[in-house]
Amino acid sequence: MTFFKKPKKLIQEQESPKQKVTSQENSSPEKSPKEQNLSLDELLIKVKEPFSSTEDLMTHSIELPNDHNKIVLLYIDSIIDKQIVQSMILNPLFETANEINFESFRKMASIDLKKQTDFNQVKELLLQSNTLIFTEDTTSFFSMVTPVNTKRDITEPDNEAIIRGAHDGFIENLSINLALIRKRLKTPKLTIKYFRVGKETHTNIAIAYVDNIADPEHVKEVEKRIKSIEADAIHAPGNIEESIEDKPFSFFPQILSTERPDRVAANLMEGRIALVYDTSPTAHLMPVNFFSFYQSVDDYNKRWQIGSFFRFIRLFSFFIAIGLPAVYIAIVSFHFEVIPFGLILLIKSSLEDIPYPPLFEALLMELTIELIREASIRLPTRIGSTIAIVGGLVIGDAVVKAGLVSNLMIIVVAITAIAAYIVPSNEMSAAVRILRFPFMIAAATLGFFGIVFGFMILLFHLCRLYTFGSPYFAPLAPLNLADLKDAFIRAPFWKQNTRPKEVHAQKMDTTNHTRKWDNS
Amino acid sequence: MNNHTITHRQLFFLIVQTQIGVGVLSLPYSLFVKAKIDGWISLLLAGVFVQFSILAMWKLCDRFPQNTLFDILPKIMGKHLGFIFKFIYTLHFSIVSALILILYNSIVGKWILFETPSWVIIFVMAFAGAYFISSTPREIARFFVLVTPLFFILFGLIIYAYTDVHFLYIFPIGQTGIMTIIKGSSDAVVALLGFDAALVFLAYTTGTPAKKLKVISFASFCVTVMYTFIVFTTYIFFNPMEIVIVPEPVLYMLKAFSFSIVERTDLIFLSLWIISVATSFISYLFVAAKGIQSILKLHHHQSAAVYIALFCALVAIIPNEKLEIVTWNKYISLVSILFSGISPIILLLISVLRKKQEKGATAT
Amino acid sequence: MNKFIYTLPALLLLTGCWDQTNLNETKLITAGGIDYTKKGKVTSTVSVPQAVAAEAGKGNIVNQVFAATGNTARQSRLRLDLKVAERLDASKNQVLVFGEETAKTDIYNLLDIFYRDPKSSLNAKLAVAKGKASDVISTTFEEPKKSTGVGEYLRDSIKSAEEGATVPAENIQTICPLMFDPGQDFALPYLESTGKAVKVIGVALFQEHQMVGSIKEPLSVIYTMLTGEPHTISMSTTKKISNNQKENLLNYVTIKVEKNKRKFDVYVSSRDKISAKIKLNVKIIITEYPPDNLSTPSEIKKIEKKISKKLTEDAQKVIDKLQKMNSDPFGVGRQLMAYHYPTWEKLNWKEEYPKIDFKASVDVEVIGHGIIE
Repeated sequence: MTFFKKPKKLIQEQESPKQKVTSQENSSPEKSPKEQNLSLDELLIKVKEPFSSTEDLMTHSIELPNDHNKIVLLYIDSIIDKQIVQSMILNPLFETANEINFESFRKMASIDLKKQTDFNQVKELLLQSNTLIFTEDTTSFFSMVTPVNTKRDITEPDNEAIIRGAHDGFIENLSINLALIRKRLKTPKLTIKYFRVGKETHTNIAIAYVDNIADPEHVKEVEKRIKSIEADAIHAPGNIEESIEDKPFSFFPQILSTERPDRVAANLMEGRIALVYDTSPTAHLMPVNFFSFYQSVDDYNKRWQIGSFFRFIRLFSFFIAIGLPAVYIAIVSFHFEVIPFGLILLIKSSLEDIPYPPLFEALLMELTIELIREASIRLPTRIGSTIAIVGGLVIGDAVVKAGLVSNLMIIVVAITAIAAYIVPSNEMSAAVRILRFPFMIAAATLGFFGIVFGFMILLFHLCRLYTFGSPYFAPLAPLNLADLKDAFIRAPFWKQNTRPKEVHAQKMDTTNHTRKWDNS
Repeated sequence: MNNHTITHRQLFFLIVQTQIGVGVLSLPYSLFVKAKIDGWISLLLAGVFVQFSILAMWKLCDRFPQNTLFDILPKIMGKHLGFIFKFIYTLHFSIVSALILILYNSIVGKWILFETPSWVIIFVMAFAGAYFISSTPREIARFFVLVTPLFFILFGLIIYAYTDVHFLYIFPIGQTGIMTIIKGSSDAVVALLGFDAALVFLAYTTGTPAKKLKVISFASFCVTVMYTFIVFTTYIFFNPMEIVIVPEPVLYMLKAFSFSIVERTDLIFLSLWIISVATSFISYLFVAAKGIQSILKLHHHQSAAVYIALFCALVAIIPNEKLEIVTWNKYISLVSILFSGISPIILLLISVLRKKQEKGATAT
Repeated sequence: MNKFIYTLPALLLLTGCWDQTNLNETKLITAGGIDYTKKGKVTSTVSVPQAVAAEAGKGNIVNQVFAATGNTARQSRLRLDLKVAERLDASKNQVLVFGEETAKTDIYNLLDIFYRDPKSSLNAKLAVAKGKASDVISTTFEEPKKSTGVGEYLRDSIKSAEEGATVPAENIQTICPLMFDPGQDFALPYLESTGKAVKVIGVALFQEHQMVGSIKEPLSVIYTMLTGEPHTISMSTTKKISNNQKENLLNYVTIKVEKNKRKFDVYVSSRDKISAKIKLNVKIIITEYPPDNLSTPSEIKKIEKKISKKLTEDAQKVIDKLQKMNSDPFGVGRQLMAYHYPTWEKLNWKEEYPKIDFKASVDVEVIGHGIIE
């Protein structure tokens, strides 16, 4: 692990380590054009060869007015911005009317213009939205990044909305995403490393970490895992996540996905490592623990007591979302003795005419809720609200009136559903929703006994889960009382003066001495 | 090995969780049968006796740092005799695991799951055991630490009994005579068993020897105090004549309580109690699996996990009448005292007499 | 291989639900009564509430009363089960009532099924009915229909009697240690069915397992105070403290006990003569005193003295009654056993108890008198 790194590289330099791998793959037995001493036309045929028959690969020949030198622009039509080509390449070429030659052209061109000599890079450059300029001098060529501007606006991510705090989110563009992070961490120690994965898709990803905080072992591990990915296509960040996580069979997400740059920045400062993607607004954070999924940026913008209260509610919701239907089933079909007398007749009369066993009732309603959820995601917002009404109100009411499901079961299912959606992380929420089904079955088989065993195995699973070598259920297992300050509760900012232990940060002290003025 | 070590604090919880187990429910009864109303004194006495075993055990493990019982045995007894004893110890630990299953099954069958076939109850626990011991001591210890707060709930429930107690029942103290009290303490020692798991877990513990000793002995002390509290509470809750017909006084006591949000507190207690049973079962099963690993020279004890759990479950299915269970309990408990209470002292003596010790013997 | 074995429990879950007892397939007993028939058989009478409307929580609850007779309590319960459609379940039973004649026999024999069954409700209230238990259970009340029936009604009326200290708070479990205790007895609420309502008329005293007599309502408050109960929500009683007022009403004072402190000593003299003394130190609030002259400390002292005297008389009356019945609910025997074990061992407590010198005295202190003087 190098502790001192070269200044970060710009993507335009095209020197990421992955590229060397790709260029090796590309190196066909042919010799470089320089040695063969080809003419311009021959060279063009040669470089266009890997692109077989794609029709958006454009060649544009220009004969310069003065010296009649031929210049050829080569680009992929669909991913370059013709306006830029016009204004940055063609205009300068023709404006310096009299004595046009390349030397003058080079003098006036922007920093994006580069002289290239490695012809194996051609394919790569073209795919990265470059416009290539070939001249009669076939020993070198020029490249210029002229990406088409397909960026959408920076908006607040819908699935991670907060009340107070920054409202920007990542978008589908790597350099913008990195810019959003760097804007928040203006430290030279913020280190970005580029990787390219997918033999055919060439997806750009970047890992980001703060050099003097993040554990070098973790960085090395993340790099190792990313480098070892071999696949034709990496489409979604989910592909990467599944490729590098520790226990792919676990229900629990082991990498935190977020679309919020402020969340990423905060986690980087705790010593975590971020993966940022081109073409996806999701960033991944690792190593995270179970409680990271229950933190929301909102907590830090509230009074700390209130933030703590809400965090506690969220953690409590974990048990409700997993256990409530199971406990209900266990109670009404095994241990109704635990219901106090005042309530039991009420419950009994609500259940009296239900023909199905409680497990079936619960499965029916839980599945209905999942159906409604799935349907309302797929549909446009306007129809979505119709689904909510039809699903929530009409089905809920009708199903009780029809005597299929008891009132209480509706209440239980509704509370469970709400509790499952309280989790700030969508992945964790999904895990929790899936987990309640085994619990329900366990409860219907063995009552409380089954639930206890379920929880025992669940907790132990969490205890033995590691992400990138750090325990997943920290700071509860292993118990670390000091770290509970940001797990169970949200301690005041000036109290959060150590970084979480399980991240193995190089620097444990956060130097949070924000209340020095307060001498009392 | 790095991944296997536990801290001395974790050792504390391991020992406490192993000690508190299946015995807690019937302890007041079994003590009463022997020492009448002075059973709680027997228990305190037993706590003192146990400290001697712990001292011997610690000294023994201290002479062979980072060695489990199964590594130590051949070293002090010679290869062949050591092997035989290794086998006997492994068998003993698996039988104790099976006994835990038997007692747990009988209580669960009696109190919550009346109709569920006993093999189901046993296999569920055996499965959990197999799953748990297929990991490292460190992860097991973490889990044990995690579930320890549940004890506070259990104690909260027991403290509720003080709304209806008769302190006079405990008087006159010492009415049964000293001999009876001492005799009763042998039964109390059985309830305190579990510290013997330290014979294996000590090998994985980091920390200075003095700290380790402090931790085990404090763990045992805590358990003794907790047990005494429970026994004392039941003795002032029930009439002395009544305990004789109530084999699980703790549960029976809770059964009568009702809170406005929940009734039948014994069910809640029992559900949480299953976790303490599981923890002792897991500890013993782990020790037994370690024994198998050492006998068969396996790379990981994990490979033995499923088989040892299956073995215990099958043994546990055999006795199915109350009387049989009582007999099993009696003999296995006696053997346990021999193996866990007395033999550490003997082993220590042998190793001292034969001057067996590993040099450079201070684990850090 | 190991991975496969870990999937086995999944199969296990598919096999069945052995212990399932669905709430909607059971009939909950909320009150039970036990009587002996003339031939010595046991009749159980139970009240079972049943919701009749389809929509939950809104329908009326109809109480059904069933009765069946058998040789033992359990047999009568089993026969009851044959009479009703679904399975009878006593785990939510609120009240268990014994007929007076039944209570005079050994009630432990009847309670055995409650102690033995892990699902039974040990916190059900116990009571003795004047006459037959079945009369109490099958009383039809003038209470509004919303009420969930006899069980809840009886439990609530016993509870309010407990709060008023008319009866001591006991349930099936709390009397169990006392039944086994040779040195202490207990008392249960004594109910009477008046056809349209059930009234708590006092306490029924027990000796070991049998009822031996009763103390009626106003006096039973003193009884509860003598048990050492420090405080209940409204431990109140009305006492006549003078005779010379014209209007009868003015002779009375109603007090509410705020704090009741009991000093209970049992002495053994050198010749094994046993004497016991209960000294109550009671702090009270005057809640009714129409003559209205509580303004000076001397007046209050006077009233305190009168009340003390009256209460001491009552307490002694209670104790004399108890000794006559040979019931020892305060646990004189228990004290003797704990502190004078050798003496206890020599005695036949049953014979000795009525003969001991048992005195009570009550010391009253007025600590409040409402918002007027």
